[in-house]
This record gives sequence, C-alpha cells and structure tokens, in this order.
Amino acid sequence: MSMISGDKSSTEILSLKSSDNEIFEVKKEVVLESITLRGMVEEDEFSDTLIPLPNVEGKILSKIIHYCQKHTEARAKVNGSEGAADSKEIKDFDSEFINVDDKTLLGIILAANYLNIKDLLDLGCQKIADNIKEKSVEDVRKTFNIKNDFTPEEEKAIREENLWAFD
Amino acid sequence: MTTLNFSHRPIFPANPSEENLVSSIRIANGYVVEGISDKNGDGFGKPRRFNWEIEDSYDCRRERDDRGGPREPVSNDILDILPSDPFGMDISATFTAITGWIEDMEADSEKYVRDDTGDMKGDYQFVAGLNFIWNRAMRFQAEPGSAGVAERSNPVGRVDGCVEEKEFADGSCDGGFLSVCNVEEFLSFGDDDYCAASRPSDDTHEAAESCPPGEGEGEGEAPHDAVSFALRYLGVQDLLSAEKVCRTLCSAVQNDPLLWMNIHIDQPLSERIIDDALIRLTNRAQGNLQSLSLVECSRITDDGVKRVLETNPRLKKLSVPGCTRLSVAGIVSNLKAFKSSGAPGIKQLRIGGLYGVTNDHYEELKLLLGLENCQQPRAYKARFYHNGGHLSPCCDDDRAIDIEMCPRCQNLRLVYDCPSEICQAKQGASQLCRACTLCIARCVQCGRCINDSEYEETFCLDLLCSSCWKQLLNCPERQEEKGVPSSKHTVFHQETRYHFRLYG
Repeated sequence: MSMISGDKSSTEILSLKSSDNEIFEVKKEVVLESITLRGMVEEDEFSDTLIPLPNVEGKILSKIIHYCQKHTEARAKVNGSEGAADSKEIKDFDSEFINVDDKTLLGIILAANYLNIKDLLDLGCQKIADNIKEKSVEDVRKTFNIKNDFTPEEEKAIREENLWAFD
Repeated sequence: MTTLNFSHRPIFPANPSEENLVSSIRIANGYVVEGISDKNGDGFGKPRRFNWEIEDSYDCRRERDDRGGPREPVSNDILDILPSDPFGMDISATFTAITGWIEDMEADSEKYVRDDTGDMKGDYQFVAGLNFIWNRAMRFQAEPGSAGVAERSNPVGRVDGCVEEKEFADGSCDGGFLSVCNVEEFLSFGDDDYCAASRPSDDTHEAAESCPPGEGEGEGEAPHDAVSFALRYLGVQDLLSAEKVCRTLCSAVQNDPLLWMNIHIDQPLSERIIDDALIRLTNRAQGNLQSLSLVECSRITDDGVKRVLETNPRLKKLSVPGCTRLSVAGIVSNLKAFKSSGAPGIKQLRIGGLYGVTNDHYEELKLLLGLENCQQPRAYKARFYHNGGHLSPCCDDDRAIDIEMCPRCQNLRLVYDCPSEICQAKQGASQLCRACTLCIARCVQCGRCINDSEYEETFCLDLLCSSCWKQLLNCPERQEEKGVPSSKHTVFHQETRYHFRLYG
C-alpha cells in the first residue's frame, strides 16, 4: 500500500520501508511528525532514498502514517483560521483511530515510541491504561496474554504488602 | 495465599472419554487421586499432599489477616474468604456434596443445587457460582480434553479465584495459580472470553507437569513492552493492581521511580491509606517525589507527613485538603523542619479544609513558602466553588497557598469568586462577590452565589441554585448518565460521579 502525494514538485516525498518490505511514499511534512525521522531527514542522508524501518511492520506503519497525515492537516488548519472547530474533529479522529484490537494497539505504541511521536504514544498508552483501569488482575492477564510467573510466596508477599489498598 | 502443589501425575487420562472425564472429576476436583474411581463420589479418601484451599473456602470464614485461624462455617460471601493454609484438613464432606452435585449435573444440575441448599446453606452462593461455571464448562465440550480441563480446573480455580480476589466485583477471579499456567484461563468467566479461554488439553497437561515459577510453557508470556509504557498513565490503585499481574510489571511498578514522582491519592484509597502505606509508596520515588496530593485521607497523621518529608527532599508541592487528622500546627512544624534540613522547600501548599488556621500560622506558612510578607497578589485566576470546593482539582492553579483571608469574616479559608455575570461586573472591594462559603453561600454545581434567590438543598446538604436544579430535573438523559432517577421525589444520587459527596 503506498500513498503518493498529488504534487511531487511542491512537497518533497520520502519513502519509508517497513519491516515486511512495504514501501510508503509520504510527504516530508508528515514524516517530520516523528522526531526520530526528523533527525534522519534533516541530516539529509535519506532525502533520495528509502528510509528503512526494520522495527515497524507495514500494517502498523500505514496506520501511523495515517495518524501523522491527519494531524499535520489539522495543524495546518489551526494555523489558518479554523482552530476551535478542528480540535473536536481531531479528538473524534483520535478516539476512532485508537479503537483497534490489542495487538495493533501494542504495535502502534511500540512504533510510536521508536519513531518518537509523542501525541500518538500518549494516545496509545492512555488507551491501554484505560483498558487496564479497574480490571481485575486476571482480566489484565487475559487481555494482554500475560503469564503469571510469581511463586506462591511472592504473590502472597505482594498481596499482603498492598492489603490496605484493596479492602 | 493459595497455592497449588500438583503431583506429577498427569491430570488427564491418556485418552479422555467423557466417562473418564466425569470420573476424573469425581476423583479429584481437578486432581487425580489414586485408587478412587467410583461414580458416586464418596470415595474421596484422604487428601494427599494436594492443595486443599477449597476446603478453606468451604469451611472457613476468616478475615484476610487471620491466617491459620479456627475453621468456621463459610460466610455467605465467598469473596470475603482468603484461604491461607495450603495443607488442608478433611473436606471430604464438602467435596462429597460437590461431586455428587456434579454427578447430578449430567442430568439436571440446577435442580441439584436447589436441593443442596439445605445441606450447605452457607455455601449456596458459592455452589451456585460453581454451578454456573460447571454449566458453562459442560456447554463447551468441543473437545473432550478442553472440556475436561475446564471441568477439572474450574472448581479449584473458581474457589481460589473467588476467594482471593474479592475486591473485584465483576465476577472474574484471579486464580493465583502458578503451576498450572493456563488454569487461569478458565478462572475468569466473561461471557465472551470463555470460548477463547479453552485450550487444548495438551497445553495444560504440559503446563501442569512442568511449570516451575518463571518457566513453563503455559499460556501467556511476558507482558508486551507497551504495557509497561502504559503504567505511567495509571493511578495509584491501578498501579498496585498491576503489581500483582506478573513479575515484570511488579518490578516495573516497584522499582521505577518515574512512576512515583507525582502521587495522587483519591477515592477509594483515600479512606484506606495509613501512614506506613504512604511511606512505602513515597519511598518508591527513591527521593524524587515532586508532588504529593492526599485528598481527604483521613487516616494520615502529622507524623506520616513528617516521615514523607524526611525522605523526600525534592518535594515541591504538598496538597492535603480534607485530611482531618492533620493539624495546621503540625504542617507548620513539619515544613519548618523540612526547610531547615536544607531542602529547597515546598513551593505550593494546599490545606483547604483544615480548620483552625490562625493568622500566625498563615504568616509562618507564607514565609516558609517563600512569599513576601504581604497578601498574595490577585493575579491568579478566579476560583469558583464547584464539586465541593477544595476537593475539586479544577480549583488548582499556581498559587503558593490555597487559603486566604476572607474579605468578609477575616478568617483564613478558601475564598471563592462568583461566576455570575452580574457579580463579575461589580466594582469596588466591598461590593465584590468574593468570600468564603460561610459568608456567601454558593451553588455546588455552578458556584453562583445564593443569597436571596431560590435554591434547593440536596440530600448531601449542598445547595443548588434554581437554574441548576431545574436543569437537573429536566434532563432525563443526563440523569441517567449520572445515575439520578428521574422521579421528582428523589433528590440526588449519592454517587460521586455526579460530583455530590457525602461529607461525614
């Protein structure tokens, strides 16, 4: 899946390559949403070549690019004249965007961390936190497929230490 | 604490047929016990060195802290029971009942449970719960193995789970099992999750046989890194829950000081937290605690605050609204000691709701906070009374200290401005609608002054101006959201989500 901008001459297009060899052509301004990529791009090493992202698979990368595009557009509008109206729009976009299955969510978070896209990282982590909140310990394990690797003694010790919190 | 010490005998017969399953169930409540295979379930024999916490849950009613106390009839609420002794006593009578019940389930389990009520009155709820699980287990007999796993694991897990995690009211239970890793899969019985929770028998088999802590090939793995990232977005109580999930998260929660730099204690922890627990939490910041907010923590004492200050020299913001065991004198003395220990000192203090603040206290506090010896400049944003005043975080701003002298009564209390446009247009100090709530009564919802206008008094003895009152009564949707019944005879729902609180 690749996204090609309409007008190559006015905006520089960069190519991002995912871990599974999908190539995405993305406007430079969108790429700059990622602090990590900003560093690479500004060093001018990658202006004509592919930027390989071996830690990010195509499916996740495409979502991230979509997020960055949307936020770049929203920011452009704010700098124009439609500020307030947009913040609801972008909030709605965000909540729908992050409403994905857990596996994708975890992938997005790791990628956002690697690519250093703060807003997306906050969005994803907050979503996970909301999923964890007020869930039982067992539900959390199930949701995230986490193994209970405590010994009985360890588990007892932890429970007793925090007994006060769960009366 | 519940533990399961499985024997090395496989749980499942090599070729599970339905009959085998059933007989196995009868045998063991999940474990195979040698030499017992009759169908009526009487032949339990002596329990071996298996973990019989179930017995505890059946026979005991004990407090959490009462480990190894006397056995008593089980309480009506299974969730109050925490078994502690892994080496149980004779529970054959109880299990006879259960296995007989399971036997009858093949025909009519529900009927049996009802019939059984007389024998195990105290256990009825528990048995009904088990029945639920067993019923579901029976429905999911896609493979004999998986069904068998469910059936075997359920009662043990369910008991254990229910017993341990009483605080989780959603019905799912923390199994607390370590050896049989995917027994836990069957322990929480969300409707949608049960199918997904079924696993092929060989996984469980493997897990049962070779699951020393930290190893094993049971279900689940180490948490994804992203889950650890998300810890920063959790409140204190959720962090304490996360500690219990697995070693990785436990270590992250206990050892990452960044998670504990800003500690905010609110409901429901606020009424439970005591000094020692507070010290343990603040110590996790490893000296980097920057702000501490204790909202209505009525069990925290001056000594507790003192100990926090002693170990956290970088603390900048201390907020203790509504902490009724704290005294202003204690706060002053603690802050003095803090400052003289060489710490930069507290820069923001919130003590709204503490009573008996004298002028001397106020002057000392201002000095300690680094304020000039004068009134705070009124450059701060207006403060409106809302949701209980000092308890609402939205009242927070950059002020060094939240209380000030009320222009009307001259007492040192929280002072509120008025959001009403009429009042905001008033000029002159004497006209300003700005005072403490004793001098100017305010609507708890919008903060407007209620002087001569109409108002209603809520169940919680708060005041509502007539427009907020009308809004409440005329908005059925909002009422539902906020849990307020639409009947005009009922005044208010006490749930805090509508921001009304019982002051007690």
